[in-house]
Amino acid sequence: MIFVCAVALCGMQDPDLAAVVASESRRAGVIERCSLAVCSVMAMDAPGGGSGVVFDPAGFVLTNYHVVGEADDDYQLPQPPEPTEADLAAFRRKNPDAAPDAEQRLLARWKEEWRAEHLPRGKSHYRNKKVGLPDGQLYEAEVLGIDPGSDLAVLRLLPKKDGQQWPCCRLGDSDQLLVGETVFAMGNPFLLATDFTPTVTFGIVSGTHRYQEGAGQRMLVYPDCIQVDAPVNPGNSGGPLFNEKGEVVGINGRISIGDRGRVNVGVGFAIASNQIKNFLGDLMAGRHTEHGTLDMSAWFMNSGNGPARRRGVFVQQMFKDSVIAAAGVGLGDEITRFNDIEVRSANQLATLIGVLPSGTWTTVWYRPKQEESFGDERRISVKLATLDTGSSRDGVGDDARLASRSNRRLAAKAVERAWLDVDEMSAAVHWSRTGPDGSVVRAIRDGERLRLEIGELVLVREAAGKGHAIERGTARELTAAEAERLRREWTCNTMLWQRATSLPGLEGAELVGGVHVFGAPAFRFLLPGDGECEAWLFADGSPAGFTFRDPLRRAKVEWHVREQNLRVVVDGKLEPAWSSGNRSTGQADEAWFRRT
Amino acid sequence: MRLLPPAAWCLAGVLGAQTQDFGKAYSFAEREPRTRVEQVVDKLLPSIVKIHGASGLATISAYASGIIVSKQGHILALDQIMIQKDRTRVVLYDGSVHQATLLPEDLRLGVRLLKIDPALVQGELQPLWPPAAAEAQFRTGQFVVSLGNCFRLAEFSEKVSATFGVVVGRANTALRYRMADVKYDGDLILTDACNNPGHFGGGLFTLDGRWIGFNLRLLDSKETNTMLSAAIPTRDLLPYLEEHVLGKARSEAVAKNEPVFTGIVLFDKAGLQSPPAYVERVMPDSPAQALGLRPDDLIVHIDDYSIRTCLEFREILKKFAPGRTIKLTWKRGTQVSYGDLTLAKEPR
Amino acid sequence: MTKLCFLLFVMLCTGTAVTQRPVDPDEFVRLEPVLQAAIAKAAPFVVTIETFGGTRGASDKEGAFDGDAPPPPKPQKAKPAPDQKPDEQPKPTPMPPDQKPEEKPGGDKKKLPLVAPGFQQAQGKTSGVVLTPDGWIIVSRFALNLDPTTILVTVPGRGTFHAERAGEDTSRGIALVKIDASSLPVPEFVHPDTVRIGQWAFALGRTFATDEPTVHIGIVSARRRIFGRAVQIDAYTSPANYGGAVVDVRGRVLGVAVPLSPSGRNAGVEWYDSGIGFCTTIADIPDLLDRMKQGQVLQRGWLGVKFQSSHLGPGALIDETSENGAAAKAGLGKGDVILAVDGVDVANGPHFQMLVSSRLGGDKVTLSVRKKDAAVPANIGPIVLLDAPWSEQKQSKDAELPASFPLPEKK
Repeated sequence: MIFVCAVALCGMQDPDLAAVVASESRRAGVIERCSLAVCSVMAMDAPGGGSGVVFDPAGFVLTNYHVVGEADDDYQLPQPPEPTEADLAAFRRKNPDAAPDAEQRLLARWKEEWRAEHLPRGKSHYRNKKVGLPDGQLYEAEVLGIDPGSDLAVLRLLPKKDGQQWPCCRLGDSDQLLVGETVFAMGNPFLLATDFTPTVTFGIVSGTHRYQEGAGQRMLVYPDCIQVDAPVNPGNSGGPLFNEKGEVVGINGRISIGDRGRVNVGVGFAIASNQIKNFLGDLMAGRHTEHGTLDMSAWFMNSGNGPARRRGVFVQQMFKDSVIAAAGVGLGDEITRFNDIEVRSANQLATLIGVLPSGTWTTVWYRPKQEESFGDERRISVKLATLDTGSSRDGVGDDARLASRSNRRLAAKAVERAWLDVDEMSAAVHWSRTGPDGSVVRAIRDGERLRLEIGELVLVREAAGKGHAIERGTARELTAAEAERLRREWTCNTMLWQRATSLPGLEGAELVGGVHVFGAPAFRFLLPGDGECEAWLFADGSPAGFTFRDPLRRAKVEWHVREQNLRVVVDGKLEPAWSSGNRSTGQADEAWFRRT
Repeated sequence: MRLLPPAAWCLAGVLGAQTQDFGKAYSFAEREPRTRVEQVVDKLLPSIVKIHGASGLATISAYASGIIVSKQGHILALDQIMIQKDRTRVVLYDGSVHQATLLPEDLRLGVRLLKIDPALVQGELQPLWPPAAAEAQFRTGQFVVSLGNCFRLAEFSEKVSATFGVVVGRANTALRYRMADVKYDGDLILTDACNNPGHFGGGLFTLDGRWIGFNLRLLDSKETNTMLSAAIPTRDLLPYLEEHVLGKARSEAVAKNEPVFTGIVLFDKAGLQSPPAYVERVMPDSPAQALGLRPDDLIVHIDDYSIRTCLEFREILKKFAPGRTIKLTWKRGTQVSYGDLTLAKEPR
Repeated sequence: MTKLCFLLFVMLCTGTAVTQRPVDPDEFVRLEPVLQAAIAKAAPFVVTIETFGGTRGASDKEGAFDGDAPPPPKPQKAKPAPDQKPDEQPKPTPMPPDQKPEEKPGGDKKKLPLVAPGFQQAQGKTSGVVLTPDGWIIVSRFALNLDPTTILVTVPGRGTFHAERAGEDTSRGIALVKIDASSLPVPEFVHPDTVRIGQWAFALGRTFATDEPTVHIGIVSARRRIFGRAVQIDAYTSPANYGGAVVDVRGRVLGVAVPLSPSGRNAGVEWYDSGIGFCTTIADIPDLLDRMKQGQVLQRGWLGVKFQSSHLGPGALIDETSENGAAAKAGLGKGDVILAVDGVDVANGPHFQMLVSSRLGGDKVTLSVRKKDAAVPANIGPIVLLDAPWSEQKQSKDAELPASFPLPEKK
């Protein structure tokens, strides 16, 4: 409609010219809007730099790890300031019966609090970068999360005035790209943009799902990259690749070069946005994230003799202590499916594994090699090992290099912003699951009330701090452990909730990382309080699982959920043969929560 | 009910798209082609093959692309050192690897046909054939898609690369005079669709799917001291293909030119650097005298060729036969003149 | 109801995103005849430039137009230099095109980069654009790097003309030459303010002197690059089209394609065919063209100030001043903050560089400066900018490299 009007108004005689001008105008409009979010990322006082893209209005920037550079061994984090009189007064009010010499301890604890609130954890630190935006302004940005394994990093712009927001662009679906589709790269090649307006180049997708080896030391691998002929040059690193709709479908980071030195020859590589989504939770939480591996290599070849000869992907090498060997796979076995995707080439398998974070539980289908033929397809669950790029040096386990608490809270808010669908929680939710010994765990939740049936034992939460247990038909008081168990389940068991956005429990939550659940990336929200309670939610706000420390079993319990799929992990080990039962909503029956 | 914070700048391209199912990622399924470029690529990719051969010299890669030209398994490739008997393998669109036998090459074009056994191929081969002369026309400014396996990025069943650009121009013999590495002396299609090692042997296609060019290696243009992407027009491949695929006989007449005589004697000097083509003297009763050339004139052009040195002057004249009329351009002081000169036979 | 309000709110925030036009699947099919029509329209005023001889050998060293000494003034109507015969006056002849400067005859056969630092020569053909009907032609400075003794212009359909060299703008990479002609076809030049990023840009060249110009396609990548002088395009530019016209879909000239770089006037050739290309805009510089017609050699303006790169603004914090620069002479020094240039507020160091480097030598600027220990800014000026010296303009060997890419891939 608008197009037709445009033609009529311009009174052009040539319909081709009119169509071309209309297409140009459409494209220029999309580019103008997207350009606002493309930035130039530079070192604070050294030459050199690359590009980045703002993907959240709070100022979160996506870029390449190699643009951020190495951790700075000499970099000293800022010292906490002295507390003000008001701070001290408030602290004294909260701790009225402190000992007389408590002044010193008060000071020390206040400063510890400040550090936890404002500084990242971990041993290695990165200097703040200098970021130029198309508004002509320079901003300081702190480095949050890094992924040296596949060359990604997330920064956060420091506001120049309170509550400052920035134009942003969202990540699109890189799997929708087809060879021949028009794409645009934006960035600051050769640092030409003295006014920080990005350079825009045009081209087509030359290839998809390309696997590119790393530069060594397991770093800078590009397991799923988009090959483009849009000119990408040094300085474009970290900048976005857009489709015609204006969505970020990749982050440019790499080129092939010819004889002429480091200039573009028509082969550029961008990290696919769907791969980035797998790591976004960890990066926004400020972690040094790692990629997964099965510690094996497979080749596409012909194998087998006579009639059993087939062409496929076969295991060629594996470490003796690899997770895949421990799961029962041997040399020469054929890998047929990975996470329900048919494996058609060795590069494809490497891509499928390479885009997943370490620790992800995956499903592998394989055919064991036998004397004369190959056996039937078998299915195993394997937890990916780590392709270590040094995060273990940064701290222990989950502590490895987390952003400051205030940043983690900001990140949680940013993720929540993306949840558009907001359902009111109206009816009670019933939900059941069956364990390996046939015992059934059932849960019914209605607002503040929760009824948990673990086999024969029934625990009921009537309200915060009030509840009872029913054992062998008789009601009794909850033990401390049972009460705590109930509290933790009620706090973070998101599967009982229809939508996460109406959760009071997410107030004050911190984003502590990401987790990949049954083929989709989810975000980990650490909820305030004891018990290491985390609620896991997919990008659309639907439940992905939860974890807490179970006081009854004395173990760290994880539940991975997606529609009818269920996986239970206790202290890092898979508890097999759990099946998900019904999940339904309906009216709450008062009898469920009564004491008798 | 949670509202977006006021003045949120987030750009949602399509409402609700953020709630899409992340789980659909990595299905490796492909959507239907929508745009014309996507359709051309989708339709023609199965006809491009990957060729692996013996390792060549340091500057010649051991891989290239090729095009299927018949259902009997004929593959067209550039004739290179890597193509050797018993060591040349062709990888088809489905990832299957086939041993190739060699057919005789065409020395003039610098191409060679390979042949694989169609019985070993699962499914049907999808051959391409050069369009008839009229349809093989190409014009400057025509959009082209270039398909080939540059930098060996595609292995086995992975798709070869596609690049996009226009026909930059026609490289006629005058332009190509300064290009090394090209056996073929006919017109070439110049393009700015990227061409890289491995891409050659692939094809250049128009937006309506016509196969108009056969990719060459990057050319060294001495006119500009830059590298150019070029392709042989497919209509020039027809005689060779017809002979070896269809069995048609062809006659080849290779004429050798007799030396020509102009009557121009240049200020030439033996030595490393040939000087510009200044006329020293004009021989009497010669075509040059008839044209009015005088000593101290600077020969600038012969037809479309620009003449920079005496050496070039002599090289260009070798291309012509006696009796041919050439357009000569020369400079005298600040005056530039041109005229037609009919080449005579060299007097003996 | 709340859902509806929410929806409406989101729609407002996202603006025209929801009413976006769909992509035309046949966009390039329709663009093809438009492109060919634009080529046909522009072809008459894209000319071939040919140079012969040269007083300077190709090297990294400074020549007559480099260095701090001002170039020799050009007379209004220069008498044509008598053409030299090869054996009369021994002078360094330009290398024949067959020999690259790095290759020693019989030396090692390793394939070297084609355009190496210092290899900035152009000999033979490039392209040009007709400026006026009476024979003013815009050429690239690249074509004149060797100070050729002979310049020839071939106008399609009109023949070949001898050309006289006039002035140039070294900061813009263009020069003017004059041929004796009349009623030449003249293009329509587009003002850079009306150019939109993402619109088509077709780089036409006549270097190969065929009956049709060559064309390389791309889009407008950025406006106001090289400190406001050029539109950046991603169409491949190289000696094949240096000096040629970059046109839009209507065949109007956006600019003249030339090698350019922020570092200096001989740089930019190393970016040939890389997707980083520049076309100097013409419609916005009529006064400069007049000066060039009079034979003036225009250079980038130079204040002689380095700003501290870690200062995020507002204003530019001076880190050091060059001894011979205009800033030092005006009393500026380390620690001073430049807050405005000719009334325009300075956001930060790079913005300041843009404001000053967009000027030419001889231009005057007035600065608002807050001295190091002062509380209030004061106006300083007008300061006359000097021509940027060669040392400021030559491409530094260890130029700031952008974030390096990882190691090159397998080939």
